Amino acid sequence: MIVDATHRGWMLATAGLAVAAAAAYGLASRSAPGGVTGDSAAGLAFGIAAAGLMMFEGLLAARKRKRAWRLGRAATWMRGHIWLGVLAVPLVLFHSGFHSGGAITTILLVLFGLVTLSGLFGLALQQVLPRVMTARVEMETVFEQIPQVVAQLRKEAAERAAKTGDPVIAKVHREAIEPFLLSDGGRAQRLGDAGRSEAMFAELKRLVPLAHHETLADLAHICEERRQLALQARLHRWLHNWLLVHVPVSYALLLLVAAHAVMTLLY
Amino acid sequence: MARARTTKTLAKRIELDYFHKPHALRTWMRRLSWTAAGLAALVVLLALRPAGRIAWSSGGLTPPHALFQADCAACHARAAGGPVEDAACTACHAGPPHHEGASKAPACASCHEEHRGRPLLRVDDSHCTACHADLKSVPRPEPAASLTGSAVRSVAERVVSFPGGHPEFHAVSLGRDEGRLRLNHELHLKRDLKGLRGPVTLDCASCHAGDAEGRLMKPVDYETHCASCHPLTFESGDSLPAGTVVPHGDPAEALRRLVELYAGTAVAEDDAARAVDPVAIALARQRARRARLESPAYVPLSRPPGTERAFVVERVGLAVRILERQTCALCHGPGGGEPLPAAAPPPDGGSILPAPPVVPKPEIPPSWMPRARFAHRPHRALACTACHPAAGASQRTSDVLVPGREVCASCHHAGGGAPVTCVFCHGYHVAEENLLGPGRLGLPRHGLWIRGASAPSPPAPR
Repeated sequence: MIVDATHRGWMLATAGLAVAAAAAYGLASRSAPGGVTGDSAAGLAFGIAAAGLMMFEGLLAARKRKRAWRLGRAATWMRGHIWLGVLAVPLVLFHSGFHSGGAITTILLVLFGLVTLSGLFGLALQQVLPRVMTARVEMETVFEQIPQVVAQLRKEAAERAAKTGDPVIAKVHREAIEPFLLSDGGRAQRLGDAGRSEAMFAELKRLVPLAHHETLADLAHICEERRQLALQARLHRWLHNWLLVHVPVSYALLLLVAAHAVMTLLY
Repeated sequence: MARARTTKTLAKRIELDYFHKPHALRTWMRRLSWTAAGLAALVVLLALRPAGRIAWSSGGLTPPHALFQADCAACHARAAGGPVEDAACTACHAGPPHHEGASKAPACASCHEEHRGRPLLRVDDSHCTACHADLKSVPRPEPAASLTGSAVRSVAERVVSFPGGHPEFHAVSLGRDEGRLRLNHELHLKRDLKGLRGPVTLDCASCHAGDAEGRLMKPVDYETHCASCHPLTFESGDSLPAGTVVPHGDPAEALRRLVELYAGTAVAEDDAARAVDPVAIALARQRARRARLESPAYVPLSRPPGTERAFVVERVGLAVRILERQTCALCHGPGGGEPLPAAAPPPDGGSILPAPPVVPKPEIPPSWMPRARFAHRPHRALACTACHPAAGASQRTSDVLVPGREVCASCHHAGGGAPVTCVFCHGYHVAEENLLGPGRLGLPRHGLWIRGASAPSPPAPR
């Protein structure tokens, strides 16, 4: 999600609440010799608030599964997910009194740090990569369908190369274009680089009859589309793979937070 | 024919049901989520075992409490959260109060914080400054009297830290030492002093030695430090051997010693009989010894029969005057405190003997900073004069030789390296030596430890 002017309200509210929490923490620290601890009244209040925010953060997954339910706009949920997650950081620190504590609380802090950092990393990527994709991947397709589209590109290239009956084009297709389309489309391949690809097809134009130049242009275009799909796949992985850390660790964090709360009430 | 990229051709390339098919990212996210949740559940289960319950604590226990590592309920008896109640602490620790009549007694655990990875005795200044930063607003008892009773010692009303608001030490702020022993430090530190057995050169350690704990200096002892140069002589004539002395510290005993010496006899065995007429008893014993042809070490000048008693009384009176005006007065000069206690007069009034010599108390306090813990041993790398620079030039007892606050603060300040916390010098509890109650615990391997009950009985042999 792009953080733009529509986030101003959330941003200001988060900053205001964080400042208020910091002021409350400062007052509580003064009145409580030794500082705020998790089991003090103020520390407990910070902990309850932070746990509540974490539960809300976790509800985003449920909200995504029930898109048809009238539970508010998805964009609003995402804004809340971002800014209330940021607000949870000072609350957790105030709850802990800036101490890692014992084994479970240390694990909780580490998991919370992982979730927070991975979320912020993903948010930062979302400010940049979609714009890069728009600018550099004009032939973007559905990410999940890239293998399907590539298969169609291979079929199309093979048909166009065979249709010419030109031995040079057939050889180029067999030895360069088909392997490139079969690959991940990366720059390790000769056709993976736009400049080298353009130079190769310019050279080919001098070797084949003029009637086949249009086919060469189509084959060059197919290679260009494959390169863009490869770039799209790379950008997509950067854009989403942080979720492989963020989401699983969040589940572990929520489970341990619940156990931590129960044990805290017992002792 | 050139490639056509119309919306229709592009749409045809996409499978209509692609979103129903498994997707690598979603698949891995689901797998990893289950794995992470499973690991978290495993951690919870492991931590729920008795041996793993310490994992739930907010930090490790201090070594003295390691016995309770796996038994949270030993201290956290209340099952509704909140701090540990004092009863859990006082079951083992006496924990006397801050001071008599303290109106505000914080819970034990509020100062001695467990699970924080630091010793329980390391208490933040904020615990102290919660009251001492503004004592005016805190009800407190009347200030205690000073050591000598001649000045009232108050408590500073605004102390934030040692560098911030801590008053000058009481002994320094008084401006004069209240000790009564006449001592000229400068004179005693001169080279080649005239001693009984030749020239003597003293230094600080000649008279000042630390106690066994290395904290305070032991009191200067007459027999150890003074007697070799300042014998308690009293006789300028020839009736007793030169150098004959009386004991130190007990005027009544000194008087008895004088009587015995002049009577030429040993100490009477029967105190009750001696109390009736010590001179008569002493003379009788002397006659009895001579009758048995015993050979005393010294035989006094013979006196005409019937004059021994008058002789003893006269000589004892003279010796008492010499002691009072010269020997004792050298150190226990006039203007001292109350005289040392004398023995009760004999039943017959003791009219024939003078009163014991009047010796004022020295009034030397055991510590010049009774409200602070100080130890000389950690400061042993320093020369004595580093902290007591005026000692070498001091000629009067009233000179203040205790270092002032600024001397301590030269090292004990933030960034100075030496600790500067309140509890480093000041104890909270009035009777710190009695903080531990009787031992009541047994080792877990030998039976359950018992809190607040009698000692556990050993396991029965199998």
